[in-house]
Amino acid sequence: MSSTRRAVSLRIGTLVALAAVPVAVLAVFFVLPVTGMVQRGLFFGGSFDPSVVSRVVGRPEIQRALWFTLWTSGLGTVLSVALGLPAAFALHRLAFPLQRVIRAGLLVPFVLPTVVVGVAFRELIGEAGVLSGLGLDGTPTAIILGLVFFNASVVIRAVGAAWESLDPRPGEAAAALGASPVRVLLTITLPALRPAIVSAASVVFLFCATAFGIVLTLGGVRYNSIETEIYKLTFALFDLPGAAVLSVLQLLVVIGLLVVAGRLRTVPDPAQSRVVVRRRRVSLRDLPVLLSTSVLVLLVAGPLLALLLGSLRVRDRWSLGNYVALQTPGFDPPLPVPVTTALMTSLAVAVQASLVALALGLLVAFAVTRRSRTVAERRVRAVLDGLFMVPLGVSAVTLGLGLYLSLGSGPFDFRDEPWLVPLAQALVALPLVVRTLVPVLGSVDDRLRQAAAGLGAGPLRAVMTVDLPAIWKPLLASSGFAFAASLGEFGATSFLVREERPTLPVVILRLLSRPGSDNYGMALAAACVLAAATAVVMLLVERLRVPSIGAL
Amino acid sequence: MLSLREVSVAYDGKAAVEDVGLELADGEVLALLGPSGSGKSTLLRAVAGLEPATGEISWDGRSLRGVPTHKRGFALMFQDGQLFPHLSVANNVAYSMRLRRIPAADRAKKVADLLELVGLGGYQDRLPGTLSGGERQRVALARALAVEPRLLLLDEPLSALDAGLRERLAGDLRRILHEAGTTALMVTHDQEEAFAVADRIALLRDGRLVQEGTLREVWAHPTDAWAALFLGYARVLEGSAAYPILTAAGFDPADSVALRRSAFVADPAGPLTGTVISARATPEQHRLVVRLDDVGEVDAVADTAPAPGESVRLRVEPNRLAIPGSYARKSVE
Repeated sequence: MSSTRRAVSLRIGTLVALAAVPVAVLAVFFVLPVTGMVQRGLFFGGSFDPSVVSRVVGRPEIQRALWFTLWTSGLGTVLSVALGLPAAFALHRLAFPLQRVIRAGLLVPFVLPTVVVGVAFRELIGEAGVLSGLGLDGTPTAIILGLVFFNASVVIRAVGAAWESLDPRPGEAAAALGASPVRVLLTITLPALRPAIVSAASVVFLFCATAFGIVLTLGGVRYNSIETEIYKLTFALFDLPGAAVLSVLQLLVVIGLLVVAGRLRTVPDPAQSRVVVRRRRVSLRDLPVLLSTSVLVLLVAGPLLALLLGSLRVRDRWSLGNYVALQTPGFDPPLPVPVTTALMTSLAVAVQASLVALALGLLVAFAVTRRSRTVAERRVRAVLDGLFMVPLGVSAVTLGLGLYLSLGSGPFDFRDEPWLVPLAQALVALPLVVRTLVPVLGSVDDRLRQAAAGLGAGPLRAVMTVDLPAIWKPLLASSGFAFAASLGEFGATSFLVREERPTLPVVILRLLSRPGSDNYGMALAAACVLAAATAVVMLLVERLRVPSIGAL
Repeated sequence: MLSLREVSVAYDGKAAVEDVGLELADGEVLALLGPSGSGKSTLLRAVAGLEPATGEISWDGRSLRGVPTHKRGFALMFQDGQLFPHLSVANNVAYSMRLRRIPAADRAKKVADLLELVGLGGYQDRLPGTLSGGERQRVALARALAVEPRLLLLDEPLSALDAGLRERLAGDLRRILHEAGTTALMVTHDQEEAFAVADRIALLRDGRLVQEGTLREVWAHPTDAWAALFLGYARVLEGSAAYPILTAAGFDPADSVALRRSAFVADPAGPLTGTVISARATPEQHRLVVRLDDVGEVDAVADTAPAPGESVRLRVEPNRLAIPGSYARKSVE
């Protein structure tokens, strides 16, 4: 009896020990700043005034922003899924030349800095762009295209992974029962993929609704989402109560969405068979799928190509001048450091950030996936699992501003610490790491660990024998993701970065905000370098062929 | 009538099925028998239109080249049933009827009839997850029969079940197929399953057709030593070892002889003498391993158990041995 009790307390102890550090970090560097910021706004003048909330929500421009966020995000999600599904099929079930390159290429936007994307789209559809004749600049269409550009890759990742290992035999059985390919897709394949599609769509909606850089750079002054409205209220109007109310609103929506997504993600039949499927050569009947994939490739490649070509032009002539200028602090007024130095800073910060994210993510993943014996224990693990998803939905702007405001004084005066930027970036990247590792660790059969224990392996040894071989590849892949995400992180970094040590995205934005075609050219070149660095990391991740990153 | 001529399937340039020719008359059940990796499932999938094949696959003289799976009018049943997990038993069975827009009332009646036929009357509203393995296979069979297929393709239909159930279901399968008058092509690696369900057997090895014929023909005249062993003969003796046995059985001399476990029976008046190596009791008989002079070890059965080391006399049961390859040269028996 006492030995069972000891076993229980040991298990709970392990859970607490594993979760303690990540929870503490999340509490101090995420919950505290965000709540602090919210408090500042809601408790204006010392006490809570509900009329502030209703007044803020009642304002017409706020309601416009809410409605705009809702419909652009909805449409962006629908289009991302519509273009992502055929591409997921083509890239994960068919075999054709250049497939790997295309697959990696389509994943690049996901980790591309919003700044780069904004610049790239301007190059394509802006006043001087190739497609300026379409008049898309500053329209909702441009914003939605930007959202799809970013998020189709999420759908490809998530659904592709599920589709790749989906047992083809129920579909074959249906075909043999007389179902046409379309019928098989509608009645067998899509129902089987439903959890993956729903989960991808909810994450995409989340990303769309919190997209900051896209709306800011492509929406101009006319269109505002909740995110840009928060930004505008804070910096242009100094209306902190308004910004805080909107932040809380957004947070509530995000948490609600995460809960719904978690519910929908639970597969009705978890024993659904996962198999290795031989890829099929393309044939004529795949034409619609390939066409749709090509549209997506064009949508992704177009802005990037425009960006590349733009960076190679100096005063209407082909030149590498913009790239050469990256070694200098730039033109009037000069940057504090040369752009190449900023690149080195970015790389160093990204290494630190991904190490932190990896360490925290591993602890969380182990804590969440250990087998639960009681309902309460399982709840605790589920809540932990969800808790570390929240940074995904809280705008980086809120996080950055909150950190800036709350860490500047009191017991946590960390504002000038050099590790603050890597830590903030690690928090932004943490959900990616957790979502990559949890499904893998969760799928390791607990009986393997029991078998190892039965053969005399201690708990640590059992982990080394059973879990390590399963997760070393996903571990590498998730560090690649964290690295890429950190390279491009801009929202939070822009508040925390120290003047003399700017990161590359920050430098790009500074260059963009300065007048003169020289500065603009340098910004294009720097954006290309950043995109290339991210693309290289993604290609390396792609080579690892980790199937489960999609379980985001 | 299904006919295959010079059918080959290759994966990445490696042949999985090579030059197979077969004919299957209406109402017949043919078993494609072979060890794993012999290409039997690949051949089945080629017939279903799920694998690209070269050569000629035709139905009633009309080529099936370019006809997609769902227009072939064949039904396919997998080893593990592949029921659609999100549909109830009734909706699984009715799947093909929905496709053909059969009215709901007719559908319900047909479903009830088919479930009755496979012994699962009243299971309409169950979900596949709540069924046992045997029940799932029965539902899969009902679902396949609901198509009223010109040809039913069965891929190891019983292999996922445990031994007792497999035997029972094999008998049911044969009865159901014959009652429905269904033409069927069944893939299996289990010779007992093949003998229990099929009318004819085609033996495959390394993608090639080794032998084809009625149960009786195949069983009595295995084409070579490998085929004999795969079909369930216990031993194949070759050369001089075969000679004394053939003589004792009253057969003409041959290169080899395939022996079933019960080819020798302990009999004080038998013509052959040997030494008992081991004896083992089974519920029906005692099984012996006996060393025969000039022959070597053979299997035998006895009603009483002699001790190892004792001498024993054996007689030969001519209908329990076969001469591999004899069919091609001349019929014995």
